[in-house]
Amino acid sequence: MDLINNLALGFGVAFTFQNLIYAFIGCLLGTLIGVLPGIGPLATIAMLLPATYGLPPVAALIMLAGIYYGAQYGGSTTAILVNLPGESSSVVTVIDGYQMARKGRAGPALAAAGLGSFFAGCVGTLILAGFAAPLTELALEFGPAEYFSLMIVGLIGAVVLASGSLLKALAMIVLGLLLGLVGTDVNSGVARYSFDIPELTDGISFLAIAMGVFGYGEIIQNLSHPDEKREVFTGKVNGIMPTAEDFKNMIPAVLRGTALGSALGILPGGGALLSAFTAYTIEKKTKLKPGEVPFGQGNIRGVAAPRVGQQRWFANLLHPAADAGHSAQRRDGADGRCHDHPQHPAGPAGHDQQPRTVLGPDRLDVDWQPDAGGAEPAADRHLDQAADRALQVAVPGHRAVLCHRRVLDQQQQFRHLDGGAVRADRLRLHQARLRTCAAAPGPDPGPDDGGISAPCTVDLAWRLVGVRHPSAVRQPAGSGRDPAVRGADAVC
Amino acid sequence: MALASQKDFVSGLMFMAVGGSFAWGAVDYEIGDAARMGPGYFPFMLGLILVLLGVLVTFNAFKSGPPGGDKIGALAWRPLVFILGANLLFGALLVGIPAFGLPAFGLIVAIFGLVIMAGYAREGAKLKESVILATILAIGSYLAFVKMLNLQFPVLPWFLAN
Repeated sequence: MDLINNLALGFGVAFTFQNLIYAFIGCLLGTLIGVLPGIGPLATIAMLLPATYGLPPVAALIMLAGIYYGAQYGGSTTAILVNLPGESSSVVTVIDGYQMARKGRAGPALAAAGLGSFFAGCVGTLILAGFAAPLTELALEFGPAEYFSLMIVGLIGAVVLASGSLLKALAMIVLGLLLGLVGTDVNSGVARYSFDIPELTDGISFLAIAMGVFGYGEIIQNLSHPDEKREVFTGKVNGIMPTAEDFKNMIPAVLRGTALGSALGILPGGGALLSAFTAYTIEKKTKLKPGEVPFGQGNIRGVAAPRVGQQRWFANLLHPAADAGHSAQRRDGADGRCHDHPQHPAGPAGHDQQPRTVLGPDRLDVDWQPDAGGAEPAADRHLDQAADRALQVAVPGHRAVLCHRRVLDQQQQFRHLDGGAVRADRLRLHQARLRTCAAAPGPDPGPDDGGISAPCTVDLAWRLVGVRHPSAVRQPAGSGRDPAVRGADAVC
Repeated sequence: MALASQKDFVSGLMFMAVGGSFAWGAVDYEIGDAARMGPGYFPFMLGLILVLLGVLVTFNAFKSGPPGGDKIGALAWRPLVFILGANLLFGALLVGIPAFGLPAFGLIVAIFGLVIMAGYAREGAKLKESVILATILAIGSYLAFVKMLNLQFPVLPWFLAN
């Protein structure tokens, strides 16, 4: 019931004329910018962020969401019409989408991408609203071993996806891995194959390679033919609606893609591309109906399924509660390159926000809250003060251990930002952490007031069970620490 | 021994060259061993694997292939040089190359350079067409990227921009 109440509350806020207009403007702007080749949704959000500065917080959030989804769709438009993927996850759409466009079926391809995304986005949002908390727990359980296994699945998927010679597919995968190695090594910090060019230390963007392989290859190959034989796109896009048969082929593919995207979408990090590729692989492995166009030559299922698979992931990306502070989340707006949004600065959810800024039960006016009388976690202490009887978590200060816990980059970012005036009002990491361990931690069940105690140090300690201890890593803790790490030590 | 597939043969050579150069480059970094990998370990091993795969692809090129020898067509030098060159020219003109003492010419000049040079990728290109296209593109890009999106890059040549 809570779910329905909260959703109803959210819809109540969103369904005002003003907010719907903002959503529309956001989608329109997002699509317009996202259509430009090479500009993905993240770049679009970064560019259009200033446009939302003057708006009230809810309207700004709605508009940003609109921009995001609009840019997504814009990316698929260029992928289908001109064979240039607008962002990395559209690469799969290119394969069949462009072939459909060549056969004069660009309209249905665009519609399939759009409708599929819409359906999957709705289902994804519902799933997320219902299971956000347990899904987040699951995502936090993901460690290096799990990510490694996932990578292996992805690489095997790439072999399966390949048609033609297996040997050459393997060679191309190795070639791709090698190209991916250009840039700073995450473990040692050595800039590999960068030739002292600062741009190369960031690595070669996947998008640059995709545009080179798909777009430039196509352009040059096309120009190598004499004028008469050249394929020029002059036909108008007519008839957006897919035919009844298209729908019949599409619907099972969309459902499969949604289920798959929901499963893979939980994972923080590289979800979208993986979902899209896997969805396409699954479609490719299902049997073709008699008379259906083969994959790679313009099959509508090959357009719909990957769009759907990736879409589910974006719902996760947008949702602030899904995995706050994870790198996949921090990209938009909080990556140090753009300013904080003045109405909602980046940081732990709600750290300095006015009520009503975040939709949901506990950031509302008191009389709207169903459990306003419940325990307030941090009521008995000041912000910097540790809670009484708080268990000290032994967080080893070694870099490898911190990396393992995915805290290191966070700290580095904080350290990096400490100098800047922009984030001066931001919570320091230790404050943020104290915030997560509120009153009544430890084995004590807490006051019997029916309220649930906040996630606290005990939970954190359980999460640390699999973590390597300093003695297990190469270098003894305490030698060669940098100031950022020492900061974390002082907390613990 | 006759080649059954020229394409496979050349792609095998390409894999070997790329893998070999990556492995060669990795020697400069600390390689370490499997238990303690240095930054050079992974690229070194991958490079060797790629060389191995390249050798296999090359050998298979002698064994089987589509009828007709799977010939590589003539290289399309003209579009290749002009399209890629136009991109390089765009980058060089946009922000300049300090190392060569080339100042930044800015967006407008760079777009004209890009369009005119790319135009010559087609046989029978006309300068007039390219100039008209470049003018429209320059105005559109100026409005979209500079006016509306406020992207930060030089717009005018260095002697005009202040």
